[in-house]
Amino acid sequence: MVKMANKKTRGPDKTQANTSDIVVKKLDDATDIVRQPPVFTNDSKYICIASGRQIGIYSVESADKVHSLEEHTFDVIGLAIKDDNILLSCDASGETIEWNINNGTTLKKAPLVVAGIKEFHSFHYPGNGKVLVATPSTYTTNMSSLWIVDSHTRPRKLFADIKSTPHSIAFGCNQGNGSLVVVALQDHSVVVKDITNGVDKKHMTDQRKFTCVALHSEKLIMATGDISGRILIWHDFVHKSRPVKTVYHWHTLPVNSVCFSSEGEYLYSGGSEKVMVKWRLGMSRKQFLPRMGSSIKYIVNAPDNICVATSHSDNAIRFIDSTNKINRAIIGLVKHDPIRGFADTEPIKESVMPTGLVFDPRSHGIFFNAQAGFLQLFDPQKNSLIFNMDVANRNVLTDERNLVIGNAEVLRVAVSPTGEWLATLEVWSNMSAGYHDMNLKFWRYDAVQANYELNTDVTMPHQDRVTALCFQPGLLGTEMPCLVSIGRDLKFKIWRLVDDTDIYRQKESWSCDVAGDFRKLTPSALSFSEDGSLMAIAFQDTVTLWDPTSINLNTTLSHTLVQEPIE
Amino acid sequence: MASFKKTQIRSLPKIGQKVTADTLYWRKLNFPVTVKEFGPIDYIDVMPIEPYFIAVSSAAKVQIYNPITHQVHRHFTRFKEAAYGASIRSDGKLVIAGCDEGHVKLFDIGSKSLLRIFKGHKGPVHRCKFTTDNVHVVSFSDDKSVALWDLPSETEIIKFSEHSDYVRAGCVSSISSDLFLSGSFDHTVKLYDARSPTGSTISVDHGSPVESVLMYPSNSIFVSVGGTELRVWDMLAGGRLLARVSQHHKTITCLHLASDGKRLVTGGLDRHAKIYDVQSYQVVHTLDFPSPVLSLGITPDDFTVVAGMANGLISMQHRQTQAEARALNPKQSLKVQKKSQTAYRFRLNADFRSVNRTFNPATDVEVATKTDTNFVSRYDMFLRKFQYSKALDTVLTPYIRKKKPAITVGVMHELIRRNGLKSALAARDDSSLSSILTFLARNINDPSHANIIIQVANTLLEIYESSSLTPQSEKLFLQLQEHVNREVEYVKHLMEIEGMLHILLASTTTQARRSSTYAVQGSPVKPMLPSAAAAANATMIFNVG
Repeated sequence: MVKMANKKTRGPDKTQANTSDIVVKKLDDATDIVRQPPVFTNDSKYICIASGRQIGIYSVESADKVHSLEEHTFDVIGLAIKDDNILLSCDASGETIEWNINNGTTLKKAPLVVAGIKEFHSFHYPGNGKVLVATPSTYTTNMSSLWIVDSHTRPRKLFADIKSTPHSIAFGCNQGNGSLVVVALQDHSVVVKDITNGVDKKHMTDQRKFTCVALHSEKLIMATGDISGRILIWHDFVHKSRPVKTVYHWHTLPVNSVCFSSEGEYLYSGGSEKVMVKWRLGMSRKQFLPRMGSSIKYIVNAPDNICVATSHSDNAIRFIDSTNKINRAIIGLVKHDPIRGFADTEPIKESVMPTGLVFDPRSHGIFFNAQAGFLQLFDPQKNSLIFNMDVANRNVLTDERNLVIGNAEVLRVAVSPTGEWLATLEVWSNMSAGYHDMNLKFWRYDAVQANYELNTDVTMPHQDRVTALCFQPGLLGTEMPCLVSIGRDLKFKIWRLVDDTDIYRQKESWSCDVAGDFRKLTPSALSFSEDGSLMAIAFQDTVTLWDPTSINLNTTLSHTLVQEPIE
Repeated sequence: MASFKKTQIRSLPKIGQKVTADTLYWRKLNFPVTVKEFGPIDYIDVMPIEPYFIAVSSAAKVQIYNPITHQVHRHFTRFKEAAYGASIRSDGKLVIAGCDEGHVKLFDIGSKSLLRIFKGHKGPVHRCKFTTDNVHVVSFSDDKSVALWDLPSETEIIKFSEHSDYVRAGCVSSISSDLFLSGSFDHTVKLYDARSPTGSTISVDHGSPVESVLMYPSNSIFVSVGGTELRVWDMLAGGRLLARVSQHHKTITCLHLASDGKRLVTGGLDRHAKIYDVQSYQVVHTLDFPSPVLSLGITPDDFTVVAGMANGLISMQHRQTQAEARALNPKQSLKVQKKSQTAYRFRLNADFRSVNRTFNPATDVEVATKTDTNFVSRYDMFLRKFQYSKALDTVLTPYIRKKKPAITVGVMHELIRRNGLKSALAARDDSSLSSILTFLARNINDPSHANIIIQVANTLLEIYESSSLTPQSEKLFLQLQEHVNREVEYVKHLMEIEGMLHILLASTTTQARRSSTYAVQGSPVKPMLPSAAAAANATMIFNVG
C-alpha cells in the first residue's frame, strides 16, 4: 500500500522488513525547534535555533535557514553568543562547540568537566569565560544542581535542588559595574546568588509554584511568573531580605515565559492563553498580541530591541515587529497536542493523531493533524510542510483555570483517488455537557488558486461519532465520486456528488444518497476492492460485501470462533 | 491566524420559493394601476419606441394609453362591431386593427384619421401586423386565410388559404419582410414566405388550438402556445420540436418576450403570467392577476407590464424607481444616506493621502500600516472580550430574536463551545429571562436548531430550578413545558405513521424478491443465492434520499 510507503514517525524511523521497494529515509533528528529558547546574534540579523542534535542559523529578515550546524552527538541543551561572530553550544554529554556564525564552521571543541558528571540539563553563558551548567540533582529526581565553571578555577556548585527547565535559571543585573547575579527557581522559592559580592538570598512568597524567572540586564530587578498567572517584579532583591514587589496579574493560566526587553523598559510575558503581553515597567499600561496560534513557550528579545521571537508549542517560532504584529514565522512540522476530554475507552491513537497518515495522490504528500482544527500536508521526500489548512475555521479557545475547554478536532480525513476531493470530519465534544458537534466537510482542490475550497459542509452526518471515511476507488473521473462513512449510530452512509446547477449558477454539492444498517450491529471497519466494484464493511465479527452502485448485499462472511470486532 | 474569526451562523434555507435574481427583479413591480374597459381585452400592443404607447383593443374600440399617466392618449371608435388585434407600426406613427366585418383599418395616431381600409376577408380579422419594411400588412382572418397587403396601393398581394379553421394567431419576422407565421384553431402553425406564393414552407402540429405565436429576434426559433402547452420549434431544422413546456393549468392565451429577449412571458386563463428563461425554459417567476389573462404587453425596457383580462380590466405595473423605493422604506434610505456620507469622509481622506504622497519615508524607517478594520458585529465584540452575558443580551433583542433566530442560536452554540453558557444565563432579571424563555418556546420545535435549544433549556432549568421565580417567569416555564409536550406528542404520531409505512414497504420488497427468484429458477445456470444471513436481511430497508 502506498500509504505505508510514506509512513514516517517523528524521530528516527524504523526500517521495516520485507519492504524492499520502499525507500526508507532516515531522519537524523526530530525537528523539534522549540525545545530550547532561540538565541539572537549580537547584530540581531540571525537567530540560532537548537533542534535535537542540530543547530539552525536562520535569517531574521527572511526566516530562511542560512546554516545547519551538525556536529553534536547528543541533544543540544543550550546556546549562547560568545562573541560577535561566535556561537557557543553545549549538548547533554557536556561537549561544548564554538562555531563561526558567518560561515558555519567549527572553531573549537571542548568537553565540560564538572566533578565527573556526564549528564547535563541546561547551559547558560553569562560572559567573561564563566559558564553556568545544570546537572542532575544527586538526591531528588527531576531536579538540578547549578554549577559555575570558570576557565581558571574549579567548578563551584551554586544551588542544589532547583527546577531543571531552561527558564528557571536567569542571570544579569550588571548594575553598571560588571557584577553578576544568578537566580534559580525552586518550587516555592527563588534562590539568589550575587557572584561578584558573594551574597546569598532565598525569597519565598506563598503556596503558588514559580514557573519562570527573568533578570533585568542592568538594574536589580527580577521578574517571576507562577502557576496562577501572576507576575511579580522584585526590586532590590539582592540586598534586602524583604524586597519590594510589584504584582502584574493578567494571565489566568501559568506564565510560561517572562522576558525583559533589551533596553529594559518593557517586560514580555506569555502562556497558554496564546497571548503575548507587553508590560511597560513602572506603569500600568500593557499591550496585547492575542490569538498567536498556540501556547507560548519562550520569549526572546533581540539585542536591537526591535524584534521579539516567541517559541510556540506548535513547533513554530514567530517574529513580532515593533508595531506588535507577527510578520514572519519559522514553522517546523506542526505538532498536534493530544486531545483531552475523550472517554477512557478510546485508543491512544485517537487522541494523539486521530487522522493517521493519509496519502495524497496529487501532491504525493501526507495529510495528518496539525493544531486543533487544522490539517497539514507534509512532503516526506522534501521534508517540508506544503501547507497547514484551517478546517474548523473557529477561534482556538484556551482553557480557563479549572476548566478544560475543548476545540474542534479533525478526526478523520479521506482523499479521493484523483486527489481532487478531500473529506474531513471534525468533532467537538464536551463530555461534561453531554453535547457534541460533528461536521463532515468536502473540499475541492482548486488548481488555479492552489488551495482547497470548501464545497459542502454537513452538520451531524451521523447521529454518533463517525469511525471511518473512505472514497470509492477506481472511478476514472467520468463518474460522480462517492464517499462511504460508517458511524457508531450503527449506520453506513453513501455520499455522492450531485449536480445542483440551475440557470443562475453552476454548482455541485455532496448529499447523502443511501443510509443503511445491518442487523443493528456496530460497523467497525470499511474498505473497497481496488477497482471499486466491491465494498466491504465489517460489522463487529461479520464482514459484509456490498455492490456500491446498487447497494445490494452480496454476501456475508463470518467465522464461528472469532467474536472480537474486526478492525 | 491573528484575526478573530467570526461566530459561525448556520441558517438552513427556507423551504418554499427560492429567492433568485429573477424573483427580486420581477418583485420590484409596483402595485398595479387598473383601468376598466367594457369588454374583454383582446390584444395589447406596445409601441417599440419611446414613449412606449400601449394600444389596447377591446370591444368596438382601440385605445392608445400613455404608460406614464395611464390616460387615454388616442382612441379609435370607427368600428361597427368588435375591433381586434390593434398593432402599432415600428415608427409609432400608424396603427392597424382588424374587425368583425372582415376589414383591416389603418389609422394615423397623430391625426386620428382613417387612412386605409383593406377589404377582402370574408370573416373577422383577429390579428394583423406590419411587416418589417413598414409598407406591407399581414392579416390573419377567421375565413381560414392569411393575406399580405400593400400599404400604399391598398391592394392584396397574396393570400394563403391553407388552414382548415380560424386563424387567430400570427406574427411577422423581425429581420425579413417576407416571412410571417400563422397559428390556427386547426392545431397547426404555418410559416409563409411571400416570395413563394405556392404555399407555406413549414407546417407544424401544435396539438391543440393555437392561441398565439412568436418568432425570436434571431429568426431561427419560433414559439407557439395553445391549450396548456408552450412549444418551441426550430425553424432552420424545418420545424423540429425543441421543447414542450406545460406550466399553466388552463389555456395559455398570450406570449411576449421580455428582458431584451432573455425571458419569455406567457399569460393564461389560470390568472397567472409565467416568466421563463429562454435557454432552459424553466419558470423563473410567476405574476398573479385577479382575472384570466387574455393579453400581455411589456415595454422593451421592462419598465411597464400591461395585462389585459377577461373581465375588461387592464392592469399596468411599473418598475419601482429609486426614489419610490426610498419613499417606501425610509429606514433603508437613511442607511444609504449614511453610507454616502461615510463615502464622502473617505474621499476626503483619500485626498489627504494623495497630498501626503509627496513625502517619501526614508528606507530604514518602518512605516506602520493601518490595520484593516473589518465589520465586527456586537455579539462578536463581546465574545472576543469574554463578556458572555452581554453577548447573549445583544442577540436577544426583539428584532434578532424574531427575524433572525439563526444568529441567536449561533451565539448560544458558541457559548456552549466556550463553556460560558451557564455564566451567560445565570443571574438574570425577570424581563431578560422572559425574553430567553419565549425564544426557547418559540424555537424548540425547529429541527434545525433543536439540539442547541434543548441544551440551553436544560442549562436554564438547572440554574433556576432551586431559585424562587416571579409568577410571570413561572408561567413562561410552564409554557415551555407545554411546547415540549406538544412536540413529543407530535413526534409520536409521526413515528406511528412511519411504522405503518415501513410495514407497507417491507411487504412490497419481499414480494418483489420472491417474484425475481421464481424468474431465475427457469434458467439453466444456477444463480448464487443469498446466504442465510443475507436472506435474513432481505427485509432491510434503506432510507433513500
